[in-house]
Amino acid sequence: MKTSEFDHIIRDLLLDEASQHDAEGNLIKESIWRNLNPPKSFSIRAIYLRMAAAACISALVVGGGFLIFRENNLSRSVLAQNRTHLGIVNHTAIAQNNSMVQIVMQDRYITVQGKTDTVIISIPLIQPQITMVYDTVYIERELQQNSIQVLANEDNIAPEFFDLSETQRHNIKRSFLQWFMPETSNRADMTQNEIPGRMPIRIRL
Amino acid sequence: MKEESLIIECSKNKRQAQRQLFDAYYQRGFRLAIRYLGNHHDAEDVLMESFNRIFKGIGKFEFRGEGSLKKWINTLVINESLRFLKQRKLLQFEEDLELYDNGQAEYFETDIIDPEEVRRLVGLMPAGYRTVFNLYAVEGFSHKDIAELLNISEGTSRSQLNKARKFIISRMESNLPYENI
Repeated sequence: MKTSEFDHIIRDLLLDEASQHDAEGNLIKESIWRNLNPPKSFSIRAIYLRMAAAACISALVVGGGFLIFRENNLSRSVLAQNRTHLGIVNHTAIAQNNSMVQIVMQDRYITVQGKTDTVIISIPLIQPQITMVYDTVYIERELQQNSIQVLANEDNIAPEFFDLSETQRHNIKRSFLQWFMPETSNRADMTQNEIPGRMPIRIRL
Repeated sequence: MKEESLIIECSKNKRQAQRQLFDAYYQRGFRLAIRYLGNHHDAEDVLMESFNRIFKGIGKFEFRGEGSLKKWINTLVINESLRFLKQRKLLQFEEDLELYDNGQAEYFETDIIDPEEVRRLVGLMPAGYRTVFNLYAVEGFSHKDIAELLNISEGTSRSQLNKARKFIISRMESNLPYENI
């Protein structure tokens, strides 16, 4: 037998033998497909996106943890400092710790300065008091006449003359004085004409 | 779907096209792997890796007419099978100058071949013999190609082929008298 014929026979046998494993092959076909890594999950873009998401999440977690840790440490250290302060102040003789006490006071002062407080201011209520003032009025007698000229205003109203008795004149004079002169005025130097809003009245007696 | 459009769709990572390609070439690939490895457990591993490489590299594949894809996939599965055998250190070659196949026609004394016996003996053949025999007699590679693939000399390839033949013949001859009686 030629070697080529022999090879051909062996070749056919090998191919036939391989085809006899088809049943086994079909059994594992689906598992191979399932286990094949889907190419989409291998795409570079998907990998980058997943890596970025993972990095963001881990950064958030680490950052948050660091902040919490730092906060705890700070509060612990502040508490420890305060305790140390108090311990030193409480357990040491005052004479030896003047500087320490000063520091505590300084701290407190700064703390108070920084705060905004409500300040209550009590203002005494001032109640008005009315006092009666009596002025002495000096009236100059110009002439001894039996008539009174009244100038009511600046409209140049013609004066009217009345014949009055001595008693009547006196009464009129009193009533006018009471009406025009304010009781509360203590400005004796101010004449009637200088008082604002007053009309000039001239009395001739 | 035509081969060319199937390749284009697969290169776009379309799952449906990939499944179509897998269905079309799975059986061929499995038989190929079984011939080199001898059992379906190893064939499963090799096929998984082979199809992974196929889907990853199909974008770079240059279509050169019908049959080019089949040839490319066959080459990938063969290479993967050889890589698997090398990793397991199952390919051990020893050069034997006396058993060179000089290309001339050689004759065997026996003319009677029992197919079942030969099939059993092929299953018992060492991986090195079987690999060279497969590459030479079934795939049609030259000794030069085999030498490049297995990283051995051409002489070693020839001697391995002769050893494979002798392995079957010697065992057949030792068994035949008992079977003929």
